[in-house]
Amino acid sequence: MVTMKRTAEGGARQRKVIFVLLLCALIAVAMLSICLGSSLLPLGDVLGAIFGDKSVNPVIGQIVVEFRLPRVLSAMLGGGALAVAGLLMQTVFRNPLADPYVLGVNAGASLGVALVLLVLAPTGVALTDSLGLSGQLLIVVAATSGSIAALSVVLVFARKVDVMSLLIIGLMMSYVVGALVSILMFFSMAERLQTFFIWSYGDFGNVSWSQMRVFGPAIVLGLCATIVLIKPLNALLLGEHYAESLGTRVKPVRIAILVVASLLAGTVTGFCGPIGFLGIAAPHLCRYLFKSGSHAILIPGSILMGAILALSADMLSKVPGVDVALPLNAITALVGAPVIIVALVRQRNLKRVFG
Amino acid sequence: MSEPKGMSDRGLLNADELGIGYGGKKRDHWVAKGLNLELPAGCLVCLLGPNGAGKSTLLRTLAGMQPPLAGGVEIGGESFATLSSRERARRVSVVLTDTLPTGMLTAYALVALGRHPYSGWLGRLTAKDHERIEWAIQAVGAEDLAGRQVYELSDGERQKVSVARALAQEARVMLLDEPTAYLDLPRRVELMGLLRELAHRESMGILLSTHDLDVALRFADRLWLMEADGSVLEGVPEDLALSGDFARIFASERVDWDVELGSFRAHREVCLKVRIEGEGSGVLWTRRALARLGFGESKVGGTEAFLIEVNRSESGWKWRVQRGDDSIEFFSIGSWVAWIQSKDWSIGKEQ
Repeated sequence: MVTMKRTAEGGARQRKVIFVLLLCALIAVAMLSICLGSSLLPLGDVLGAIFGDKSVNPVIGQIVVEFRLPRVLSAMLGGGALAVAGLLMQTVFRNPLADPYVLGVNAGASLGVALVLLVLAPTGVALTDSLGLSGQLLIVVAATSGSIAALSVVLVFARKVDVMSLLIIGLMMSYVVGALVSILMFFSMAERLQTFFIWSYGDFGNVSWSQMRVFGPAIVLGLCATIVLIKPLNALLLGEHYAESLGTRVKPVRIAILVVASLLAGTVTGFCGPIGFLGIAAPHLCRYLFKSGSHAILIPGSILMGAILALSADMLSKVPGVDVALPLNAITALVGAPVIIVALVRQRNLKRVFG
Repeated sequence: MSEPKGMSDRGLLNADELGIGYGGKKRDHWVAKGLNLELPAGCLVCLLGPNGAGKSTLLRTLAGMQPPLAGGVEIGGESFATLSSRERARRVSVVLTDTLPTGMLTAYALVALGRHPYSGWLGRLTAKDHERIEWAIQAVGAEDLAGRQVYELSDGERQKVSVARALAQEARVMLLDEPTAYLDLPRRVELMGLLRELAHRESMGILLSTHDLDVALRFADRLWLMEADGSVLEGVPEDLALSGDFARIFASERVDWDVELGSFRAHREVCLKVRIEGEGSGVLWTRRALARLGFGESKVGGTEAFLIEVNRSESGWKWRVQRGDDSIEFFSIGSWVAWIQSKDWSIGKEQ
């Protein structure tokens, strides 16, 4: 009896330490990310600019507040959102390879963007070549509508079929939509394609303060919604049959989880482009760190982990000191994939963990 | 007899004119209909039947995981259909064949999931919940496993923890779908003993499906025998064995259930007979070895191909095989089995 309680308490203390460490790491990476960039800023000036110190050089203040701060904020929110979306999908589908996009939201978003960039723009819809502010907003609207359209199609099936079929339907939808995008690309001009490619690389730097007023609340709202899903998500760890036997109303819960996860992923895709990999990696790293499957631990853990990973990837993509930005998606995969492989090899039992 | 039938007269779980199966678009696929069943309190009931008879369908329907095609299930005097899913979960717990579980989860955390029907919307556990969880873990004797990850557990340990999870649900009815599959004999006996004890001590109604007839016959308070057509015979195990129902339901071309032995017997075409002399367990195992090789036993003298005499000496068992005038001694079953296999008996048959 004593040992049972002691085991539980010992684990809790260890987890608190990990949470504190992750939080410290997040703050450190965020600060570093603001300081580094095409021009290196001293930490003192950065802190001064953030906390409204008047003595800071106004140019530095402007760089920090207008450019670097929203970028860091959107990376944190976006990374956290993708990580949580990935976690929800992995639990619902009981599949370690599920990512936030399994239902085809990024395919839908890319079709929306492709339609705007490759079809509407050449036919004379006002859109500056260099993607001005209005153009950027148009892309956000196109991507978000594309995500919502894809999600709506899949949700029509969600009530009728089991999760495995749903996974396959999502996959097939992605293929069909991907094919449509390829056809559009085939008939497009090179410079249009270039714009589309740049969008598809993903970028946390596109979210301005005015867009943040939509992006921020949408993500925070989605993350808050997951709190009510913690209990049913934990029940779903046992599979849908057991969850039902524990009094969980599986079908409405399943749809709620899919909607929340897809909206989180869709919002990030809309504003920052289809950022891959974070959503699969962060939940796995959290399970490995916390040695727990409870969503009460994994959801906050994934938010922190996702934010840290996104910030780090963004920082690396900017290549400190150089005026070149690498594609974000290349960084997330290049750095993240080996990390996951190492984690899996050391954890070895991932397959058994997922039954 | 005019007395109204109170709750106490009936079982914890009752099926009335229950029809089970799968609803189809054009027409329903019926597995069984007109089932009247009663799961009494303080009773371990085993559901037996050949593969495909519909045991799992019946269990799922009784657990409310699948809607009945006709009739209804009543639990503690209330119709299952009118209960909310949370209320159902407080009355019936299940142990399924589904794989357990995804993600990292300790055995303690797994058992704790059994408290879901009682916890609030956040799933926070109270001291009373923890008390019940620890009680459940102790009841199945899994104290040592509490801190271990579920995926590390052996099949037997995992099954124990699954039962503990169901117990934590504090439901008076527990339904288990083939809980003894994949377990070795000692583990099966242990689990069945545990379930019977729980049923009696906690006055629960426990129903489990199994393919393990021997263990079911020894441990169940009652049996539900499901026939291939879906009808269910109900009774005390010994009655069903004596009446021949047991033998009838499980008979097949290759094996049948022997009421004398109380176990299965494979029947084969016997071409040669052997006479066995001797006493004790040595004779029993000699007989089984011969049956495995395809030899019958000759009870009357003169029809046998050879004679085996089983003796017990101070140094151990001893077999003397006599064939015609030859007489050879063996000191293990393996050695005379090898000797028999080295001979060509088709020639002996012609003689």
